[in-house]
Parts: sequence; structure tokens; C-alpha cells
Amino acid sequence: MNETILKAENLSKRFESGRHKVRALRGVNMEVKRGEFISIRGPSGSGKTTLLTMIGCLDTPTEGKLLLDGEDVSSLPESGLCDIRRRKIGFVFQTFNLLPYLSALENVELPMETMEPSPEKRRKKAMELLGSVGLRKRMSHRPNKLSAGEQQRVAIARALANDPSIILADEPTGNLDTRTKQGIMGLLSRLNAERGTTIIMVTHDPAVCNSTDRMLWLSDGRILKKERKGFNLIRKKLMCPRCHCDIRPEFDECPGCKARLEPAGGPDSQSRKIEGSAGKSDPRR
Amino acid sequence: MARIGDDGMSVLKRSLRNVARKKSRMVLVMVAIALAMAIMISVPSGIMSNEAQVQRLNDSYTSMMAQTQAEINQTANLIECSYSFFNDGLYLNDSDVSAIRSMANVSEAVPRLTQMWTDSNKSYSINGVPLTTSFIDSYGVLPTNMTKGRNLVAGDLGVAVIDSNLADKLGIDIDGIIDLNGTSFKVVGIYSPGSFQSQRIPTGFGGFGGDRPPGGTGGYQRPPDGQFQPGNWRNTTRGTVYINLFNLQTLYGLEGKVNQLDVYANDVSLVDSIANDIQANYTSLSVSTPKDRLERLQTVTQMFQATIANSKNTLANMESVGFQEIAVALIATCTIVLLTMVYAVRERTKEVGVLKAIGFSSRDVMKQFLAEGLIICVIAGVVGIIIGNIAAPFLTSVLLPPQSQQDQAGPGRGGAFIYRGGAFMDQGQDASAVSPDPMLTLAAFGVAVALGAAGSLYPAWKASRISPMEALRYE
Repeated sequence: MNETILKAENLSKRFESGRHKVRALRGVNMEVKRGEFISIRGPSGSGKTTLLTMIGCLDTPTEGKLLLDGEDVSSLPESGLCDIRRRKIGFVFQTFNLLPYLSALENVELPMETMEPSPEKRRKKAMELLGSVGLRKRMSHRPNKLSAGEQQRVAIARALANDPSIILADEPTGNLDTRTKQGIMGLLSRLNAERGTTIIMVTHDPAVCNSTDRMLWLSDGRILKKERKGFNLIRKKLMCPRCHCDIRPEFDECPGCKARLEPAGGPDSQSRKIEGSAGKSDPRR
Repeated sequence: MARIGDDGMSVLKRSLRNVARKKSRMVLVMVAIALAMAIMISVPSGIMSNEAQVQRLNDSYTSMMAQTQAEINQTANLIECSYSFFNDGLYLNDSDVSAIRSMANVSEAVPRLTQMWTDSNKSYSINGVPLTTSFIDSYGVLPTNMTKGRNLVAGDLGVAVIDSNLADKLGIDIDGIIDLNGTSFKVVGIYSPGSFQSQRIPTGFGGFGGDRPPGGTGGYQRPPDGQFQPGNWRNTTRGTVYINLFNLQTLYGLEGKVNQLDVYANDVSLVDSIANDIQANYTSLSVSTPKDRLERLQTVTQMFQATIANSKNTLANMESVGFQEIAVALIATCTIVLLTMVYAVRERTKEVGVLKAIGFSSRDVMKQFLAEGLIICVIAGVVGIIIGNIAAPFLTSVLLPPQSQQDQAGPGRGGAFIYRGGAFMDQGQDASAVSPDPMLTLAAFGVAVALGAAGSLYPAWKASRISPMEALRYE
């Protein structure tokens, strides 16, 4: 647990589109230990997914350094990044992204094609993985015959196919109902606990953060807060009436749109107003 | 190796699934490619078939001209006398034959009677020849090239020798019976007509008189009205039958009458004077000397050469049009594959992102899309080959330019060869004779695969270059 598996140093990413320049990440520093389950939260456009794509070697940073298992991946060419993705990263997406023309079993086998030469071994392992996510009887079904929860479980099994060092989950519960969400979070927690797989999960949902060891609060391309397990933001979480991003009661300004906020009405108050605004606040819950 | 093989199978399996997934689109694409393939097969096949046919006709006619020339040279003392079909009812009597035979400087006069017997879809030229030992031995009145049975012999009655084409069409073998004008004759021999035109043009129909025994080249005779119609010519069973002159005379109630007489002069230098004498005495009789026959041969040769020249021009035109069509088909095929695959790549951008995210390299992605393009073209190629082989005559007739009227008729009335279904056909040949060459079929298949590769290359490369992050964000 003490071994550092991921270290980001001053990680920055700029996107340029004509005259427009967007700084998606502004000097992110973070460190993840092997076996940790981390959630990354933040308002829309805060750079969560960009950070995840950097960690997942789907893109390279403009500046800074990213060490994965001690290897600097920030300046690798596409072939090197591809190799890292193949060996060390497993992805779980919000929209599952299973290939619709393959069965659940074939979807799980797919990543192994690049690593395991034996089709028999691939099949055996894919069956084991699907069994471990509770889909032993649904292996031959194509994604359109599976429920959303089942599809996400297939996606998780696929992410585990090459025994990755890290699983990166981009809002894995975003498309699921509450009950299924709990099931998927339970599954991820179990994988983390039983297999010791490091999981980094991007989410908007404060509820799912409770299942993680740590939460990183990302805003405007920077990590603003690092919370340990038990931080329990749920009760205290408020929403900015302008940009709808999550605000903690102690914040004086919205981390998303930088609007100055009036002081909270009281300890149990869940409404905040923008200074000088007569508009109604819009509590999330 | 195992890895390559297994990976190849997986790529193939996925590609097949993808191709099968978009059935309607793929079927349309395949039909388009298959049609292009069929064009690539059938058009060159049609052109090659035409070239071969023209060459064959050229060879046959050249050979026949040479043979006729030789025959004329060999029979320099022969004067051919005949009543044409237009003079139906005019015959030479025995007394006329005797009178001509006894003319000064005439060594022999060989009488013959030729009748056309026509029935429903049957038209035979019946040659009645004098079956005496001297005529048979010295004047070659009988056909040569016997292939079955025996030839007629002196004194044969009630028997016939027929040409092999007729025997095949009627299904008659040795000892079979052939009906001639209501009387049955036993077939004792079958001979090969021996020359190209004699298979088709019965005596008196063509420029050279058709099937004749050596020693005679026949006179130019037009058929009587109604006996020969080009329209029904193809469906008519034709042939030549040899029987005893006496039998033929009896058959038609023409006892003692003949309509052809081969007069042999004692000396070549006397041929013209004898011919003039005969013509003077028998004004309606067509009298032909070797000189006349040579002139006719030259005329027919010129006609034939003009026809062959026209045919070659048409062939050149066909080649030009055909290759333009093939070029258009190739470009269209390549474009169809290209657009289909570009569309498929765009449609499946997110899938490319997923594949890359789970560890597929750019090369793996490129391989996947290339394989799909190739599979489409291989399947379409096979379909195209089947269509091309089955529909080659039809496609050839539709795609190749039609022949001019002048080219359609060869030497002689009705033409020695005609143009049907985009191909030159001799009159016994069917349009379905346009059959694609196996090497051509193989080459077309190779082109299909190459087109698949060429058309898929850019989209596959483009797919492989998509940034995984952008691909995953693509909606």
C-alpha cells in the first residue's frame, strides 16, 4: 500500500483551437499508492476527464511529468503509450463502450488478444472474470441483451482482462440507477479489496465517493482539496446557483465560475446565494 | 506464427461480424462491386471472343480461298453448266447431254441433278450423281473425307451418303433412314464437309456453290424466293445428301433430266470456245469457265476482305469502349469501397477509441479496417465472378457497341458470319459461346481484392491515426 504507483508532477494540459486556448490542467500534483481506491470530483469542465486520459496514457501532458510504476510516460510516443495502456491500464467508461457485435465473453477476451497468444487461455480467463462479476450465465449474450448494470459489469471484467496495475473509471455509475449503482460500487470496492487493484474513479456523485479511500477535488484544472475516507461531504454539499457545481459550505467563492458567494445561512442551510444577486438558490438535495 | 494465425482469425471473425451487421448497406456495396467485377470479366471476354471469332473466320476464309483457287487451277479444263434456281423448270435432257458430250474437243460431260428439299425447319441439298465406275473414278463425283460407313458405289440405289453436320442434327447413324421428299433412303456413309463454308451454305446458296466434289467449284446461284430467309436460317437444319442420279430423277419425276453439267475440254486453250458454243446453243444455261470462276473468286475475296477490315475496325471500337467501361467500373468500385469504409470509420470512431484504450495499436486498428474492406471485396468478387460467368453474353451484348449492318454480313448472301449479342458468331454458333477465360476470371478476382485493399487503405489509415481521446469523446 505504501508503494507509489502513480505520481503526477506539475501536470498541465493546454488545448488550442484556432485563437482559443484552453488550459484544462494547471499544474496538477498527485500521488497514488498501489491498491488505493481514489475518486476525483469536481464541476463540469474542471479537467477530471482530461486528468484521467493523461493517467490512462490516452493523451500526453503539455507540461509536467507523469510517472506510472516509476516509468515516465509523459513523453512517450503513441506506440509506447499503447504498450502502457495494454499492460498497465484498464478502462471503465460511463457508457460502457462494449462492442455491440461481440458477445460479453468476446468483449472480455478482446484486450487479451494483444497480450495472450493462446485463444484457449483467453477464453478461460474471460470466463473466470465474467464469473467473478456474476455474469457466468450471461456470457454469450450481446450487449443489447444485457441490462445497463450487466453491461457495466462486463466492462469491468474487460478492464481486468490484462491484469492492469490501475483501473481508470470515468463516471462508471453515471448511467445507472441507484440500486445498480450500489452494486457496481460494491463490485469495484470488492475488486479493490480482494485483488488489490488500484482504482481511480472520476465521478460527479458524492455518494459513491464514500466508497473510496480518498477524494481529490478538482476545479479549474487544479486539485483544490484532498479528502481522506470519511470526509462525508454529502450532508454539507451545496450547489452553485450559477454553474451548478458542488460547493462546500466553507467556500467563499464558487470553484467553477468564481462567483462570490454569500455566507451560508446556518449549519443546516443547503442554500447559497451569489453576492448581490436576488436569484433563488438551487440546493441539490 | 501461432499468434499471427490466432490474431488473424479474431480479426477475420470481427470483420465478418461487422460486415454482416450492416446487411443492407453491405449488400448494396457488394452488388455494386459484383457488377463492376462482372463487367471486368464479361467485357474482355466478349472482346476476346470476338477477336478469336474474327481470327477464326479470317483463317477459315483464307484457307477456303486458297483451296478454291487451287481447285480452279486444277480444273482449268472444266466448264460448269447449270440452270439457276430462277430458271426453275428448265433442265437438260439426255439428248442435250449427249449433244454437248459429242461436241468437238469435249472429252466428257458429267450430268448431275441438284434439288433443294425443304420441309418444316429442314432444308437439304440433294445431289444426284451418276454412279458409274468411270465417273466415280475419273471425275470425282462423290464426296471425299468419309468419316463413317462407306461411300456410294457404282449401281447403288435407295441409299444415301450425308454430311456429318446433318447426321448429328438428325441423330442419324450408319444404316439409319433419311426421308427425302417422302421416300426413305438408307444412310450408308457419313462424310465430313471438309471446308468451313460447306458446313453452312448448301449448293447454289453461297458464292462458291457450297459442297461440291473435287473437280467442281459450283456456279453462283441465287436461291428461289422463299426458300432462303435469313430470319429462319439459324433454326433450319441444313445439309447435303448424295444419292444416285437415277433415284433423284425418279423422286422428283425428272427422269432423263439434269440441271448441272460439268463439261471437260480436251485442252485448256479450247475452254472459252467450247463455252461460247454451249452458251450459243443454250442461252438460258449458266456457263462458267475457270476465268469466270476466278473473277468471282476475286470479287468474293474483296468482299470478304472488306468485311474483315470492317470487323477489325469494329473490334478496335469495341476495345476502346470496353476498356473505358472497365476503367469507369474500376474507379466506381474503388470509390464505393473508399466511401463505404470512410463512412464506416466515421460511424465507428468511438469503437476505434475503445480499441485503442484497451491496448490495440494503430496497426491493429488499421488491420481491422483493411480486413473489412478486403472481405467486402472478396465476397463481392466471388459474386461478381458468378454473375460475370453466367451473364457474360448478356452483359457483352449490352455493354459492347453494336455492329454496323455492313459488318453483319460476310461474303455471300445472308452472310457467312453474323453479329449477335455483342459477338461475331458464325451461323451455327450461339451467343452463349462468350465464355470468360479462367485466367481472366482469376485476374478480375485479383483486381477485386486489390481494389478492396486500395479503397480501404486510406480509411484504415485514417482510423489508425485517430487520437484515442478524441475518438472516445466522439458522438
